Amino acid sequence: MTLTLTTTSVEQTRTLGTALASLLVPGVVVVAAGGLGAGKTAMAQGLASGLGVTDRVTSPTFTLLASHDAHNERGIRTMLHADLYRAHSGEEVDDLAIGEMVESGAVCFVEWGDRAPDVFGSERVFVTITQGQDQDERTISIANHSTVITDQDLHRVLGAWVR
Amino acid sequence: MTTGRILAIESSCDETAAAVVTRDLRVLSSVVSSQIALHESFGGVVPEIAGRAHLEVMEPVIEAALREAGGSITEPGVDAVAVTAGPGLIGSLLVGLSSAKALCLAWGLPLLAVNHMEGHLFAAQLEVPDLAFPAVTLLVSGGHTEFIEVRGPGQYRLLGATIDDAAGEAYDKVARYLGLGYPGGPALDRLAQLGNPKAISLPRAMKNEGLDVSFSGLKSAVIRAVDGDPSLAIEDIAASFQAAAVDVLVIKAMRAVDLVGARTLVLGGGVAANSELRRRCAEEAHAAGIACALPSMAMCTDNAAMIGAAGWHQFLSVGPSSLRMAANPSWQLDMERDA
Repeated sequence: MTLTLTTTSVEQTRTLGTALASLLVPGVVVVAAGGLGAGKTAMAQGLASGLGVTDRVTSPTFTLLASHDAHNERGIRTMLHADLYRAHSGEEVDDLAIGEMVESGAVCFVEWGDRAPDVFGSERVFVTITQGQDQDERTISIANHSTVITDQDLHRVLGAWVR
Repeated sequence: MTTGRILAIESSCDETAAAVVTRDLRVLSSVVSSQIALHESFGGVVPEIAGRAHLEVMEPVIEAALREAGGSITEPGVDAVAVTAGPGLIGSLLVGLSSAKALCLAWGLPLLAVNHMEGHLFAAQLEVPDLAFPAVTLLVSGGHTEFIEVRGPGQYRLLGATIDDAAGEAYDKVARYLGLGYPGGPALDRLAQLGNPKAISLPRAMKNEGLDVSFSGLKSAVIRAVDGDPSLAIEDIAASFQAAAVDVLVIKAMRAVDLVGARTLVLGGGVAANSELRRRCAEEAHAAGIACALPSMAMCTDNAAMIGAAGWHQFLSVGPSSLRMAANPSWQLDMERDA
């Protein structure tokens, strides 16, 4: 199932990330795509906030992968925040060992994840952010490719954002 | 018998590095993998990111550092081994830390686990031994944009940081958008010197608020300006971006200097090579009547000599680390967050 949503400010994109967090369970990877300045990091910040991460979440472009302690009631103890902007090959992405870490109970938000969408296991949610009509408007499609999040829950939590 | 030397190893991100540093902080050798001739041994292919790359070059880099300082793997001529244990990529950190532990076991020497960020804060002291404290260090690179009060070795306070993109990241992403290749920070800097910094009006985010900075909006504003007016000269775009980015960094740095009564402004990190940032920092520090420490490029970017300097501080003031010490990818430097 794919939902197509609209946000009209960076704050709304962040809030959408927080809403998305309420759907996550251990082992899910959010594969995010979108150009420079689309709002991927903002969504990651909202997601982190929804998972009870207290660290400051910034862009991991140069550090490639950040690991944040999470505090929530859904058993997610770690939020990984990856960025494939600098990656050259699937092998390099493999070296980040994201698959192993999510298997042991973390969730992961991957910016530029569309550059290697197939190396993150089977529990994936695809997020694609594109520029809307106005400067601050974004069209955000969310495609549920997981077995652990139901389409019904996706619609219940995010349906209000559909325009 | 003590030698007054330590071997230092760094592998937290892209660079594999080793150095030998004396107790009085003289750098006897400092080898960074990208500098040595790897072509013969590795067929010219040096992956930029992979942790595996560290594994391939770690041993030759350590051997080169020991050799340049007059030692060898069998006769190292050092008193201890310092190594970066975090923050960084776990796979990359493990290569350095495991190598250091193995050498410590083989040589019967103590291990010194060092925080990478503390290394950056010590880098300036390798070149400016009589640096006056308190200092404000602006640590600015692809991964960091932080304003740190340094009251003395081991005494730090985080004053402000980026809330989204690091400054170096904004440079490289704008450069790539302008078709300058990657990493494009230095190319953008060169172009900027030919353009008009007032050609495009760009935001200085949070200019009047606190000591945090934001570069995400500036990046987006440049992209919008470029998309909106294809006739803009690339030199003018570069100059306008550079003026806005450096403005924010310098304004905040000087605010930090005022706040803590700093006697020295220190630049560190890869973006410290930026010509405009160096010029403006020196100018503003001079106007404020304080010193400005601008370390060389080799000392600003990741290297092991700075890990050696931080290692000596730890050796003399705290003591060795346990050989059970684990790598810590998110090791926060022991500093308070300014309330």
